[in-house]
Amino acid sequence: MQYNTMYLYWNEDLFKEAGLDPEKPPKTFDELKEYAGLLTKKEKQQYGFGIATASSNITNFLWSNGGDWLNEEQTEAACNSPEMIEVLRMLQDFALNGVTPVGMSGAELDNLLLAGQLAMYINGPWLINGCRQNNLNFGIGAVPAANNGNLQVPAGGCAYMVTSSASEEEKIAAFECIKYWLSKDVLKEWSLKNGFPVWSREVLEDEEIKNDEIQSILGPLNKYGRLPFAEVPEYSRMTNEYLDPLFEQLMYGQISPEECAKIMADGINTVLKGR
Amino acid sequence: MIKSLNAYFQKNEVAAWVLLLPSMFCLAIFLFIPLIMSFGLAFFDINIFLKDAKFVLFDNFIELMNDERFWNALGNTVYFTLMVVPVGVIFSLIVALLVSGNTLFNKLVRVVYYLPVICSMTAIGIMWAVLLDPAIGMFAYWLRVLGFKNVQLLKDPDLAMPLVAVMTIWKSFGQNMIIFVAGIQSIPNDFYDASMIDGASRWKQFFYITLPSLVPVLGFCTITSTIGSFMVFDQTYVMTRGGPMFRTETLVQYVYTRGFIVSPFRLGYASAAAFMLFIVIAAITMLMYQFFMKKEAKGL
Repeated sequence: MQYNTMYLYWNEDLFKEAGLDPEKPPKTFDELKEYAGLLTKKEKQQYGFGIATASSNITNFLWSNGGDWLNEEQTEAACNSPEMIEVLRMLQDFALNGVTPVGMSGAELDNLLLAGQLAMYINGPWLINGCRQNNLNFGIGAVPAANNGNLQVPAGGCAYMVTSSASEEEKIAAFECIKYWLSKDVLKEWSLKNGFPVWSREVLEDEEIKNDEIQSILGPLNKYGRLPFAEVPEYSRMTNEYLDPLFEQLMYGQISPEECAKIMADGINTVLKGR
Repeated sequence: MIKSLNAYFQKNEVAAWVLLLPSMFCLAIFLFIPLIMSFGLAFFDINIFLKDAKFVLFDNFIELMNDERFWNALGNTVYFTLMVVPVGVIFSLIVALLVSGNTLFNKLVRVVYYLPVICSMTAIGIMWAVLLDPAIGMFAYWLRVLGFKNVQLLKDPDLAMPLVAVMTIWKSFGQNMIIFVAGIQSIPNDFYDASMIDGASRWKQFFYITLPSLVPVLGFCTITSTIGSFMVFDQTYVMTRGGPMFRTETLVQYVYTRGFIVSPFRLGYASAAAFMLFIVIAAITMLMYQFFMKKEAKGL
């Protein structure tokens, strides 16, 4: 029904104020660190790069850096690795240096961005209309890749489901609804009005889509998407019990990146063993 | 036969029961039956879909005793209560003493102080969460103007719970204040007149007349405040979601999280935790009640 990955949002006005080119967002981890440092102004409560306290925010950095949460068979944790520790250290440094506010949820960071107090952050496409409505001069583009150019970003989407207790008529009605939704005109209207990226190959070729300011950026970024924790139903439990609390502790400076990576891996293995 | 039926329903006790039946029916469905079911569920390992129930007797309780997050939640709840009840009750009493006279101004002030009590805790919690936000909140702004660095307020692990307590006292002191005002106004003026003839100072009047007369009211306010504080959920859920780092997770919130939020939605385990909360509240309430009964009998 819908497919999206994550994108870098940045405040073009704040970029100009800091002497950076608003058309040139950071492309690598190093550039991200550099730009975030320049864009953090403590006296003005301005944050350079926001990271919400949810472990899902580690994923794109971890993947780009060559690491992963689980092994290929999805039977064991693989996150107690040097790649993970590097990424955790980078994120913790952002928190300890005041580049990102600590303890914020994604929604609170949205507010900060719209209030003009956050220069950059990573989010899905759902804030595009919010930015437009608030007349924010925002840029949107690819998430910074690793220094060697490797880029992989968590993808997601929405799905429709029909309950097993639905009658035949209801099932047919649902089918008709999906048929309507998946028609070219509806998909095009949805993406143009909402900013959500187009995933249908047919619609990607449409002239209006190709010329649309937002869609021309988002379309080509689909190929960097990858589903996190695919086929791991215990994902929600892992996140709630271990990954999120541990990431929170890391960002508050209570544990080291090495400890964090190890306890996260132990936690994941504990949950997977209970299968 | 109709005449004798009629006579039967005219009897006071029967009429009373008949009139109570609709309310009892609602209470039964929404209160009594769920309460009994909850006590029962605590002895099962059962999930939210009420499938695959296994009778485990005390296993849930034993697991609870070893559960770090349960003790954390209980500790946070006790910490919250220790902040809100003494400060709240004493503050309400002081305010009540100041506004117990029946002037128009006092009556207006009483109304104003009571307004937060009738507002929704969730709405007030959200409003205060925005006010106390370290990045966009008004309090944070003023603290920085005054020169404080590193203002974290609600995101500060040590300050979060005290701030929620302050907000709770602000919201609910009007309730106890009104009850205290009623209590103060019911003290006969003769006592004060007699004491003035004896040359008693205002302090002596307070400690020897007002306070002893208010012991039953004090008892009521303290006990109800304590029970309410132990069941705190709205404020912490809305303002901090139990964070940062579970420092504001209360027992009711833990029950809610275990039973309804985090898979595998262990309703049995959550019910056991709720059962423990019931035991704690019951024990503390009984102790307090004994204390205040003794005070009332002996006099302060």
